[in-house]
Amino acid sequence: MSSSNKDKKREKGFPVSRRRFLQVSGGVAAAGLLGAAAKKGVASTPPASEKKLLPVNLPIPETIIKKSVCHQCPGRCGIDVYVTDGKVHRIFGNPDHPIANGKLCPKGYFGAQILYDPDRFKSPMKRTNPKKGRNEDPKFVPITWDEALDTIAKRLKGLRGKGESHRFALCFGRGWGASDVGTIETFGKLYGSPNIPIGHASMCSEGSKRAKRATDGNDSYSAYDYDNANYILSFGAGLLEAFRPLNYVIQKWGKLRDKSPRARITQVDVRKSTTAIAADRSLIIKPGTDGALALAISHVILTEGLWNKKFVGDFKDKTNKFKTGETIDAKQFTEKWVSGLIEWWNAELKDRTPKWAAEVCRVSADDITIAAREFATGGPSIALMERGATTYPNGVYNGMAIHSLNALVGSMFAKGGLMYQMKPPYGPLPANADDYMDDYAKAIGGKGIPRVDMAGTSEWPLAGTMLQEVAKNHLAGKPYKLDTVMFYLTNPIFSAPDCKKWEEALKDIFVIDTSPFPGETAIYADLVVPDHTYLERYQDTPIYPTYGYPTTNLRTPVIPPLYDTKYIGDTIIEIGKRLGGKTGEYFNAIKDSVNVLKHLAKGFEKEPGDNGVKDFKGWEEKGFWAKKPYHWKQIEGEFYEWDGKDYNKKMTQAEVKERLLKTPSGKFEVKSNLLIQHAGYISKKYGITADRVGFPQWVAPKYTGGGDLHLIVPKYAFHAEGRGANLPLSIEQFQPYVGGRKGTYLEMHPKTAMARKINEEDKVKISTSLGSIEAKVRFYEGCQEDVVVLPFEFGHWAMGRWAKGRGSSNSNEIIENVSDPISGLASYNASLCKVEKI
Amino acid sequence: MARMTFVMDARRCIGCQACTVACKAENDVPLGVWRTQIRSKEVGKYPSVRRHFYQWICAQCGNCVEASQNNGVGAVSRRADGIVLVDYEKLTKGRTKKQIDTEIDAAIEACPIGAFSRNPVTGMPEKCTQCAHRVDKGLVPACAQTCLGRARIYGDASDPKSEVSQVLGRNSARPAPPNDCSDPYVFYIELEGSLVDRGALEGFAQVKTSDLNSGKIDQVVNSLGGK
Ligand code: SF4
Ligand code: SF4
Ligand code: SF4
Repeated sequence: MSSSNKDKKREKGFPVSRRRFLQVSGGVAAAGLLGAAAKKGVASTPPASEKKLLPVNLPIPETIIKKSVCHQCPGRCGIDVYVTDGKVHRIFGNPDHPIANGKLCPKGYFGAQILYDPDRFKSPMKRTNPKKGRNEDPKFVPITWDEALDTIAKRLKGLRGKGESHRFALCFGRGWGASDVGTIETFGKLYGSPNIPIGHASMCSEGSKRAKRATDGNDSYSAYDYDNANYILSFGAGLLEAFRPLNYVIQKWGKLRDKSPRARITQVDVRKSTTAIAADRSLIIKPGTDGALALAISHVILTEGLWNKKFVGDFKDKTNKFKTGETIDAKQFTEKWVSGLIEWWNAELKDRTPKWAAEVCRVSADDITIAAREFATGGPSIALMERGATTYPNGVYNGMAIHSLNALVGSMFAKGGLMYQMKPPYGPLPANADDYMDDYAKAIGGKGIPRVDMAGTSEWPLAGTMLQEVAKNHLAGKPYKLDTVMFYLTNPIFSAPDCKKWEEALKDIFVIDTSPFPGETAIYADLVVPDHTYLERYQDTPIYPTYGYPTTNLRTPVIPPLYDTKYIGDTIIEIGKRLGGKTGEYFNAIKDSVNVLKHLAKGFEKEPGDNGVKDFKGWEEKGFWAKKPYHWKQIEGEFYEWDGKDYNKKMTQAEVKERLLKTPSGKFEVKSNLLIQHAGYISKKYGITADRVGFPQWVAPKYTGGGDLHLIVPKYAFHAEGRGANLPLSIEQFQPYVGGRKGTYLEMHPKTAMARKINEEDKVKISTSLGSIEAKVRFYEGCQEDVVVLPFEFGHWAMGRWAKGRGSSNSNEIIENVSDPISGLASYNASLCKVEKI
Repeated sequence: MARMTFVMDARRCIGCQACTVACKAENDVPLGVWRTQIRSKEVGKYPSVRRHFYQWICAQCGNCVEASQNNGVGAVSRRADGIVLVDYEKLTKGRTKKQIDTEIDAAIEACPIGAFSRNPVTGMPEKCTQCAHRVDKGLVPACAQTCLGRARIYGDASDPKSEVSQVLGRNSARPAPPNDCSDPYVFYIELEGSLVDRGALEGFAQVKTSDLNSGKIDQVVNSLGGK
C-alpha cells in the first residue's frame, strides 16, 4: 500500500503497526517497543516481532499495565490494558480476575477501537438545526461544559417551578454500579421525578427475573455453579454466542467437557445455533414453546418418581402417586421446600405428557422423556434460560416452568446448581440522600403521578420498567407528554420494538444524549454531553450474577481522557449542584464520582478481598475486590450458612425465607403468591381462570407481525455492546456463520427459500404488519422450515463512518411493540414475517 | 533442541473467533488480512447438522524457506526452535524492488496453506510468527493464550513433559491438508477436511504482489468492502 493510504489510515485514528516485546513481571512491566514509524512503501520498517533477528538500537519506552474492566457486554471481565507512550495498544484478560482468567472473548479485544474512534464527540455540543430527522444534519456546535450544564439545570428548574418535574425522564441501558446508576437514582429521588431512571431491562431480560421472583422470591438473574454441574439443560441460552459473561461461560463449557465422566449439555433452541450444534443433544422446538417442553419434563420427573425427595418432599407413605391424568389429594404429600406441588400437578402437570408436548413443541416424546431422565438422574443439573425462552408474550410462564425444574431436582443453592449473587460490602456515601429531600421531593410520591411508561401501574402492575412504551405514550400524551429526556447507554430509537415510533417522539422532546460517539439518538439530540469512553473513566462495576460470591471491579482511566468529555456520574453530580437548594447541598457533599468510589471502597477495610484489596488504592491497583465463598448451601434438603470455615450453621426456616427463598411461604412456590396477588389482571390478560394464575403453565404465545415464517433475532458473539456495528475489527468478521459485511444475511432453510424461488445471496424483503426491511439470504440446513433468523444490531443508520452503508436490516423496525403482560419484557422473538425475493 | 509446536484440537474448537481477533490485536494485522482464521463446514441435514472447524494457520513447514533460498537471498529462515521468520533487512538491503518481489512471491507460491502473504500496509511479508516475540519471553502465542475452548495447545514437542507432547501421545494428529508441507510444526486432531462453506472471512488471506499493485486490496483494507 502506498504511503498516502497509510496516512489516511492514521487520520482515521487507528494506530498502525506499533510492535512491542512483552515482559511480564509483577504488576507493571517494562516492554521494549521496537517498531519505529513505518517508512514508505515496500522497504518500510518490518514488524518488530520479526525484527528480533536484527541489531536494534532504538530507545525502549515503558509499557504500563493498567487494570480495568471490559465494556463489551455486561459480563465485567477484568482486563489488563497495555499502555505504551500514552497509547493503548493491547488489551488482555486479567490473569487474576475470577471471570476473565487471563482470557477474553473476541469482543474484549475491541477496546482500542472504541477509544480511538475518529468520530468521537470531542466536547459538549448543542444543536443549531431545529429540524430533526434521519437525514437532518443537527449542525452541532461545540459549547463549554458550563453552558451545557447550565442549560440542563435551567430546564430542570423550570419544570420543577411549574410542578412538572415528572416530564423529565432519564433512560439508561447498561448501568454499571453505584457511581453511575446509583447517582442517577438518588438524583431522581431528590429532584422528584418518577421517570429517573427508566431502565432498559424490559428490552433486555426482565422475563427471567420475574419468573424467578414469582417462584423463589428473588428478582434477579441467577448465578451458576458450572464447576460442579454435571448436566446443563439450556432453554435457548446462547452459551457459546451471547450468554454473559461469554468469556467465562465458554471457558466453563470447555471444563464441563473435560470432566470425567464428561458433563452433558442439552440445548433447547429454535434453530441449530452455534450452541445447539456443539451440545450433546439439541431439541429444536417451535418458537415460544419452551414452557410446554419444561412442563412435560416435570411430568416425567414426577411420574417416574425422579424428583429430589429431600428438597421437594414426598408422599407420606413413600409410594409415588403421580399417574398421568389422575388427580391427587394434597394431604397425602408432605412438602419440604416446594409449595403447591400437588395443586400444580392437579391443575396443570397431570396432563402435560411428553406426547402432548411433542405436538406443541415438535420434538419427539421419546426425546423429551430421555432429556427428563438425564436431567433428573445425571445431576447436579441446571436448567437455565434468559431471553431465548422469555421474549414471548407467555415469557414468564415459560420461565417459571423452566425454573421449577431446578426445584424438582433440588438444584436450588446446591453444589453444582444455581444461586444468586452476593453484593459487595460498600461503605456509606458522605451524605445520606434521605436527609436532603425538600418538600417538593417529599410530596411528589403522594401526588399519584404515574411513570410515563406506566410500569407499576394497573396497566403493567408487575413490570419494573417499560422503556419500550415511552415513545408511544409520549406521542399519545398518555399519561402525559415528556418535556426533556436524557439517555445514558441506551439507544431505543434503534433498539426498541417498533423503533420508528421513537423517531417521531423525539422530534418534540428536548433530547440530551451522553454518548461519546455518534448514534441514532445523537442525531436527534438537542444537547450532547459526551461521556468518557470506558478506558478513560473511573467506575465501579459489581458483577452480574455469575458465581455467587461477591466481586466488584474498578474501571480506571488507563490514559487521561482524550477529549473534553465528562463521566456520566459527574455530569449528574454537576447538574445536581446547579439545581441549588437541598439537592445542591447533597451533591456538594458528594463532591464528585471519585469521592463516591473512595467512600464505597471504605467498606473493604473490614472485609479485605481475597486478593488483599482493602482500600481504594488497592482496588485501583488490582482492578477488583472479590471474596469467596458464597455464603449459603443447600445440602440434601437442609440449608447451611458459612461460619467462616465451612457451611456449618444450619439455617432456620425463617433465615432461609429472609436470605434465600424470599417468597411469602419461604419456599419455592409452584403456586406463586406473587401472581395470585394479581389474579384479576393476569386472568384477564391470558383468558385463564383466576384459580390457575399462580401455576407455571402452558399458555400459547400470540405471535405478532402476521406472516408465515417465525422471525428470530438473536445476538451474535461479535455484537459488542451497542458499538459493534461501527468497530472495524468486528465488522470484518461479522456473523462468521451467517456472513455479511455490507449487508445482513437472513438464515433460511433451503426448502423454504426454494419454494419462494429464492437463491443463496438473493436480496429479499422481510415484511410484517409494520413494514419491511431488506437482507440477503443464506441457506442453512440447521433452520426449521418455518423459521428465519436475522441477527439484531445490524442496519444502523447513524453510528459513525464504519457502520455506514452496511444495509438497512434493523429487525426492530418491523417487530411489533408487544410485551409479556407479567414481566413487561418486549416480545422480540414472537414475530411472524413474510419473505419475498426482491 | 526445542520444537515449538501447535496442536489444534478441532473437537474442542467452538468457533468463537477469539483467537482470530486476539492475533489481529496482538500483531496489528491490518484489516482485511489474517494470520489465522477459523474456517468451518456445515454437514448433515436438519436436524442433525454439525459444524466442523478448521483453525487455519501457517504450518511453519518451511516450504517458503526453500523457495526464498532458491529465488533470492534466503531472507525467510527457520529458527533453531522451528519458527519460520523473515529477516527484513536481509530481504531489502541493497536490493531492487523487483528482486524483493520475486523472493516474496516465490515464498507465497510455495506455501501450501496459503498463509504466506504480504502486509498491505507495509508491503512486507506477513505471516504467522507463532508470536515469537511472546514465546521468547516465555509466553504462549496470543491466539493460544485466549483460546476459550482450549483448542489451541502450544509448546515444545521435544519436551516429553509438555502438554503438546502429551496430547500428541494420546491422540492421533495430522498436519493440515493438502499434505504438501515438507516439515510442519502444526498438527490437528480430528480435522474433518479443510473445505469451507462458512466463516471464510472475506478479504485476503493471502495478499500477492499483484494484489498490492492492482490496488484491489485498498478497498478492503480501507472500507472493509466485501459482501
Ligand atoms: S465476556 Fe463480556 S466482559 Fe468478558 S471479554 Fe467478552 S465482552 Fe468483555
Ligand atoms: S501464533 Fe501469533 S501470529 Fe500466529 S496466528 Fe497465533 S496470534 Fe497470530
Ligand atoms: S479461540 Fe479456540 S475455541 Fe475459539 S475459535 Fe479459536 S481455536 Fe476455536
